[in-house]
Amino acid sequence: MKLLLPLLLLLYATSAAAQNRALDAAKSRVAFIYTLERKIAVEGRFPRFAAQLSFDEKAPEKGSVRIDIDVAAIDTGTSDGDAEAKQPLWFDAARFPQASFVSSAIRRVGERRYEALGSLTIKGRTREAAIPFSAANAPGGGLSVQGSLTIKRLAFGIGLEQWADVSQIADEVEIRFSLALGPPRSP
Amino acid sequence: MAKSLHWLMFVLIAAAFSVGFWMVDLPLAQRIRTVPWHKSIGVAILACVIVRLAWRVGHAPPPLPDSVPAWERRAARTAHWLLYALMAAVPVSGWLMSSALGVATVPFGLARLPDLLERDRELGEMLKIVHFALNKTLLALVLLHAAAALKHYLVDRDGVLQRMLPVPRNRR
Repeated sequence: MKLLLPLLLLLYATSAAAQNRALDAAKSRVAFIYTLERKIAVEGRFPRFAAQLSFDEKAPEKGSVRIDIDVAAIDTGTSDGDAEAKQPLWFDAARFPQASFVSSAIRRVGERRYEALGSLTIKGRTREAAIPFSAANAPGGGLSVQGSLTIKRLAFGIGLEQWADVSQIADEVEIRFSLALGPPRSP
Repeated sequence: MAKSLHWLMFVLIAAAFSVGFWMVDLPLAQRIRTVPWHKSIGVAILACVIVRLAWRVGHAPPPLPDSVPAWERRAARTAHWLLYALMAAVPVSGWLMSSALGVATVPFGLARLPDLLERDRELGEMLKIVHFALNKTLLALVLLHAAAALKHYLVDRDGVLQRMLPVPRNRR
C-alpha cells in the first residue's frame, strides 16, 4: 500500500510524458513587463526555461502543463540589473533557482481560448493562478501557445525594502509567454 | 527663429550630455529614476532638430562675409550639415538602443513613443556603443564649431560670432 501511491504517480507521470510535446526553445519566449514610475514599461526576459505540455484541443481538460524557469538566467536589459535581480531582496536566485507553474486543471473558456489553473511558485512562495492562453495549430501537428497573466510581485516577495515602493516599480508585473511546441509524441 | 532654436538646443544638448555622462555611473536605483529625464531631453532635442531642419530648408542663413576664404566656406558648410545629422542621429540611436533593451520611451511621462526595434539584448548592447560613439563625435564637432566661432571673433574679427549671439550686441 505504501508503494502503491508513488507507483501510481510514476505511472501517471510516464503516461503524461508520453503525450508530451517537444518545446522549440529557440522559437519560445517567456517575457515579463514591469512599469517604472507608473508609466515606463520595461520588458525583460527569462531566456532559460523548460515546458512540459500535453494538450489536445479536442479534450483540453485532459491536458496538463508544467513550466520551470531558470531564475538565475534573468535578462533585465542591463548587466547590473541582472545582478541585482538575483539578490535576496529580489528573486534570491541562490536559494530559489527555479520558478514554476504546475497546472491542476485546464478548461476551455472560449473559441480556442483556454485557462490553466494551478500553482505558481516564485521565490519559494506558492500562489494559485489562472493563466489564460490561446492554442493554435502549427504546421506538422505542432502547437503554438500564447498567453499572459499579471501577478503582484510583492505577493511573492520580489523587490523588498527600498524596492517595495510601487510608485517607483509597480506591484503588477505582466508575464507573457509564447511557446512553440512540436506534435504529440507517440506513446 | 534659427537663432532661438540654436541656443535652445545648446541648453538642451548641454543638459542631455551632462545627465548622460553622470547617470551611467549611478547605482541602479538612482539610474532608473534619472534615465527617463535624459531620454525626455533627447526626444525634445530630436523635435528641435526636425523643426530646425524644416526651417533651414526654407531659410538660408545670411551669407558669410567676403573675407572668408573658400576652403573655410566649404568646411563650415560640411560641418553644419554634419552637426544637423549628428544632432538627429544621437537621440535616434538612444531611442533605438532603448527599444532593443526593452525600455519604453515616454518623454516627460506624457505619451509612450513606439518601440523602433524588437527587444534584442545583443543588438541593444551594440547600439549602446554606437550611441556613445556618436555622442563623442558630436562633442568633438561642437568643440570645433565653438573654436571656429571664436576664431571669427578673435582672429578674423568679422562679426560672424556676434550675429549668432542671443542678444545682438553690435547695434551701434
